[in-house]
Amino acid sequence: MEPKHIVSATLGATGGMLAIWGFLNTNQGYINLGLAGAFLGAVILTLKSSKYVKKETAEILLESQKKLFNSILKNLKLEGRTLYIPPYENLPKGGVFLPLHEDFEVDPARFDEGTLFITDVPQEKAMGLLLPSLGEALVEKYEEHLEGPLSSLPEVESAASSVLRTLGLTKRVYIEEKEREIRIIVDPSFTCNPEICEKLPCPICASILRAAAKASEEIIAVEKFEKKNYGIEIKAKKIGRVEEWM
Amino acid sequence: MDVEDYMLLFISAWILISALAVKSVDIFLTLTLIGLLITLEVGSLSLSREQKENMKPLVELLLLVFVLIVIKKVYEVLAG
Repeated sequence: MEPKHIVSATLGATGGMLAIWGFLNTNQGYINLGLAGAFLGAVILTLKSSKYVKKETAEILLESQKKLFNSILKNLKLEGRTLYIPPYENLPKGGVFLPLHEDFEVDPARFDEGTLFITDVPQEKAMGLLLPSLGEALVEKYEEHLEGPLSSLPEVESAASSVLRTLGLTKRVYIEEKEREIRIIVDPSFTCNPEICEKLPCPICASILRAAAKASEEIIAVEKFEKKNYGIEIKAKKIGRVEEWM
Repeated sequence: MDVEDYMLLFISAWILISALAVKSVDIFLTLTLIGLLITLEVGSLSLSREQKENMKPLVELLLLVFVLIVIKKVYEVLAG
């Protein structure tokens, strides 16, 4: 039994008894107080979320994930910067692609949800690692919050900001669009060091970029991740629709 | 303390003050409904969909009570 259950049960029971006592003695003050107790019990039960993990836990998990990502990048010698693919026929939920070379090519016709290593391509430039599920669950949460699909960057900003704040992961998310350039500011609620995020970010930043790709219906290429006083600044660029790369 | 705790603090203070300051149950229940609606509206950005869904039955119950109060008052006025 969680503390919120004990507190709300105590408040509800005490409130109920107080209300009955007040009713029997025709004391309006006791009736009101009793009802107040019962309502407070119900409010605590419904409003207080119990599915919390400590921020330190998120830090520890992300730290170990970063080490894993780092070793994957080193072992596979992936040099390119991450590309965020919007949903299309082969990848109905979109995906994250890490090109092998900095001077890359993308061949979306070769992508599919079951292929991780993209090696069966005519050019070596188009080789890379495809991660279809990185940040996917959070994008689903954004759409659940919006009660519809993401269709513009202001929608992504609003949904990501409120979902990530509710989950206690970020304090704010800001997205600015200037022609083909996208500037995203993420202010995480925990210590974050974006060393390898240009190549492989955490699910939080990946979800925002995936959502941006989905909303703009274009492939988004990350240019820079920088730690600033006001949070993590991400500079990215729209590099065209999936069909243009086929 | 996060936003959720502030919301809980606000609604607790609102309900307690309403219970202590008001003599009539009708007005107390109406004030509680107003407090809950304010909390839900102001804090909607910081509440998850699940929390909002959980709060709905409580608000609906209080709305039903409010409708009954209104009907009672209308009847009192019409009955003279």
